[in-house]
Amino acid sequence: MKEFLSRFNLALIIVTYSAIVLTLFQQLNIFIVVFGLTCVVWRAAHFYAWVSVLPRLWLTIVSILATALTVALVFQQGVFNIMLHIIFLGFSLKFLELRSVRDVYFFVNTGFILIALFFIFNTSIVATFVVSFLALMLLAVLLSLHAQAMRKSAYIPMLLKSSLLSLPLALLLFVVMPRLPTLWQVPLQKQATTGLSDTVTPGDIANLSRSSALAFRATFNGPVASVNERYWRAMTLDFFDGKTWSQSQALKREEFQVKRRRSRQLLAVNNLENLDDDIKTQYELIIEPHYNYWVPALDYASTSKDLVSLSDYSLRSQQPIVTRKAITIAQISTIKQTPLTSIQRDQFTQLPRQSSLTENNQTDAWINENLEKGLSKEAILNKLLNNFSTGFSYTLSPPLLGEDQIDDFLFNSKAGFCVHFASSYLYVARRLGFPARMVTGYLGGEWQATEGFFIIRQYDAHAWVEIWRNDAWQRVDPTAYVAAERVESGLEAGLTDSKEFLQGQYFSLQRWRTVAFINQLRARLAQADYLWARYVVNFDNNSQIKLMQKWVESLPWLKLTYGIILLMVMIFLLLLLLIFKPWKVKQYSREDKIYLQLQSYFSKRGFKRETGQLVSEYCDSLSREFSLQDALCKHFANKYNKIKYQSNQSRMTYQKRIKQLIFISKQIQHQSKIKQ
Amino acid sequence: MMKNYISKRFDKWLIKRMPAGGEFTLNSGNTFIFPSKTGLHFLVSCFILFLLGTNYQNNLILFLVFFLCSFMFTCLLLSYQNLAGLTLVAVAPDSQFACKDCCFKLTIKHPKTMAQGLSFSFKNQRSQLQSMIKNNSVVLYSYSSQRGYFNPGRITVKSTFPFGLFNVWTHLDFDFKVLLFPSPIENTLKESRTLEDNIHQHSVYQTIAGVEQFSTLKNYQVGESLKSVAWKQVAQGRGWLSKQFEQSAGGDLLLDLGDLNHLPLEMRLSFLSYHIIRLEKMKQRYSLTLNQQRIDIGLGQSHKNKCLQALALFDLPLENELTTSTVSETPLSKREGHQK
Repeated sequence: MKEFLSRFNLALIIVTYSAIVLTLFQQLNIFIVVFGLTCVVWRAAHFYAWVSVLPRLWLTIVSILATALTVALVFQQGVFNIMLHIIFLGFSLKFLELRSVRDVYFFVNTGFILIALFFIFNTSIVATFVVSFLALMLLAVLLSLHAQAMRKSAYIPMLLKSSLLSLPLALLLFVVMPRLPTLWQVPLQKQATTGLSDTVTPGDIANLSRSSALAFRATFNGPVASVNERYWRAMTLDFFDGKTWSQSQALKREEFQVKRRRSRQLLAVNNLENLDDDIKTQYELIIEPHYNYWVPALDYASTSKDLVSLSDYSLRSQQPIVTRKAITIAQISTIKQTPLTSIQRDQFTQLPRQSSLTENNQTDAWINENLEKGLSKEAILNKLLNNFSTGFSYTLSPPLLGEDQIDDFLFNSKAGFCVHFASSYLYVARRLGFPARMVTGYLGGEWQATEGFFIIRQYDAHAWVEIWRNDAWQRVDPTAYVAAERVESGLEAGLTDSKEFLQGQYFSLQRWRTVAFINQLRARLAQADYLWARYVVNFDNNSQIKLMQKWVESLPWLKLTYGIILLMVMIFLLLLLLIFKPWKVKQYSREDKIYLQLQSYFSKRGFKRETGQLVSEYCDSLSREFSLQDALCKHFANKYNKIKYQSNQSRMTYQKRIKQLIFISKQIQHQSKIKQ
Repeated sequence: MMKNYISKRFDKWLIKRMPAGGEFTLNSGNTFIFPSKTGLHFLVSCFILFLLGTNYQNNLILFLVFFLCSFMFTCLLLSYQNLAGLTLVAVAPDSQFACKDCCFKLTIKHPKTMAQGLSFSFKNQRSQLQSMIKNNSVVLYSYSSQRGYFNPGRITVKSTFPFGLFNVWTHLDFDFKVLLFPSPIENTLKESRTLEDNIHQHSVYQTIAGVEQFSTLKNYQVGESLKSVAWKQVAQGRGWLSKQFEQSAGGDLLLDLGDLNHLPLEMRLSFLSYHIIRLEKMKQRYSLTLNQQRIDIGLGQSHKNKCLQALALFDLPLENELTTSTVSETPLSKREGHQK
């Protein structure tokens, strides 16, 4: 085999490397990406013979510098990132020094690991296509090494053929191979959490609303929640410092317990001695990674395994959600609400202590005024909501508020986003002595009619209020009063000025959903990605067993293990058939048939042709064995060879020679008969 | 020691498994397939990917692993398919000289498509020269310093097509048996004197075309050098003629092994080999005497071959006989196998 690389090999390797760098662009530190691109430029310059390959010394210096730089850059980003960067660095350095075939093997194998790491970040269907393409490129590099003589146009068919032939077995393995549990704790990539955070200041959710990124998807295995019920709760916030809503100490402690996995005890205490017959419907969520613990749920969720319900009956996952995850939740209609203790009552009516900074005097005055008018507390709250529906506007870019936020919003700007409304409503409620809390989560979602699932995007993020009345928590959504459309048909409809929707996001397909074609394309993509996430990415042991049981049930005589073995054998046979094509039976030419006939004639008389014996040798030994005419046998061999090997003989001569050959063969057989 | 033993056992097994023959069609009976070093590296990275996929509970990584494993399996079949059905026929080699790279030829018979990425070599690589594949014929080189019959051993046909994950190879014994003449060694010293004597004894002089002395005039033919034109005759108006020259070719020579008794046998044979070639070039007739064996005076290709062959086979040393005898034994054992 050639030890050196051809130009074609090199070109292919450079292209592959560039593609991998561009794919991992988002996951890598920008300096490292620049380093990678520099490598590409250097290699390309070398390809055109402008520079020579780096000498050893330089290479060593570059590697040491690059390693030092990488470690310095990513040191704080956790073990996973260091690992990723180090692998990438090794990959780049190998690429830089690439000289012989052996280097390429290292390059290709490291490449496979790198593209697999890409799957840890992104499991969407688009990512899958990208990775498949890269994998094919890497295989093409291998092919180019070992099929130097092949025509370049035959590369792609060869590559596709071998990949397609490999697919059935791969699919079968994917379906039947049991998934092992995690073998050891692996470092996770540290990444900023996305989506909802555990504190809310007015304006936070407005920022989220500018993103059309996917938050999660939901399918219902039963009646679909009605429009007014699609409040996906994520967390409750019950502490207000005058500006920001956050969790109180008590709630934080619960969260902490979940994170520490001491939640088992917590489970039992909580409110859910739920009844099975109470289950309204079941839904499956496929949550995009948000690197946090919360799980959105409709009112009310029964706790399933792996999930923990906090005292505010919001759900938490036991592990941060760092990959796309499927979670099935049963929705129940009622839960037992434990009466508030006095501590809890204090907790839910907490307001910032009166200080000079955050006095919402105007609001307080308004409340007192109304109380003096003799209005009940309930009536005051309703009046506030009615006010919202008259003079207020719903906007994503409200004017900045001053120090007294509530006052400023209620009496000056009168324009805001859900958090503004929720926050001021809460303030008033708490001032009046109602226990109340802020709930953040998502509202609504886009219904995909064909596949029957909801897509909930970041811009569906919402904040609303729960208030303790009649010994139960009741949901109040102040936003519904200012923009009822927000609840019914989503953000775009709710906005007073719909141009605000996804401002600046020109590349988002959501932005262009008015264009019919793009909208259709978007829907198709979303659908495919959903199915991908649901059936492939989250294919776990449970679904595996279910699927296999289904197969087995349909063929009652089949045992599971035998079935799997049978399937494997079938795929193996299929592969054999596809590759060797036995139906294309070997076609013997006419001269071969004559020769074979002669052989079989004499083998019946106890004289066999030895393997590897040439025609002439065979005929020689034939004449000796049966003491036939030597010339006749020689004649046969000559004739046979002439027919077989003489180039450009015309059809006529071929026919003639065949006839002669038949004649000679008959003569030989005849003679041997006479001699006997 | 151990390695030696194993390779010996392997060779014995090969003889049983794949007896010598003139034509081979590669099939599952005579090809070996093993993962190559690259293939093993590939498996190791698959294992790493498997750990990665399991630990991160990532289905897509796992699918990649399954795909790569399955791909490797497909490669196994494809790499076998590439070689299977390839038919190789040995071309009987011409006699050559020892101490030179001697070449052997195979012809590739194709059913339909060309097998890709083939490489041919002798199992015991003796020559520095690489084998060549050109238009369905393969030229391989081996080397031996021993005169006599030479068997270069088994030919290894190898391919790593399509992805280099598997080595497909076979060791075929084409039963090559080439006659190696003693390598010519240039010499003039002692035997030239004896040859002088011979020349005087058998002084039947010959002349051949040369440059030394003028012989005749001949009609000039276009293309002949203008220097040889007989200008004098042209001037006389006798037409275009050209002058012909000749030189003495010396007398018939008797080459005799006995003349060089003070030298070792191999060297004497080499000396004689040199003279045979020299005389053949000079178109001088010669005869050869090897102890009892005698070849009469003659000239020409067949005479030369006869003489060289006699030299090559003269009093073969034991070692060489042994190798030839093993070669002749193989068909015997093969025949026994068939009778069973």
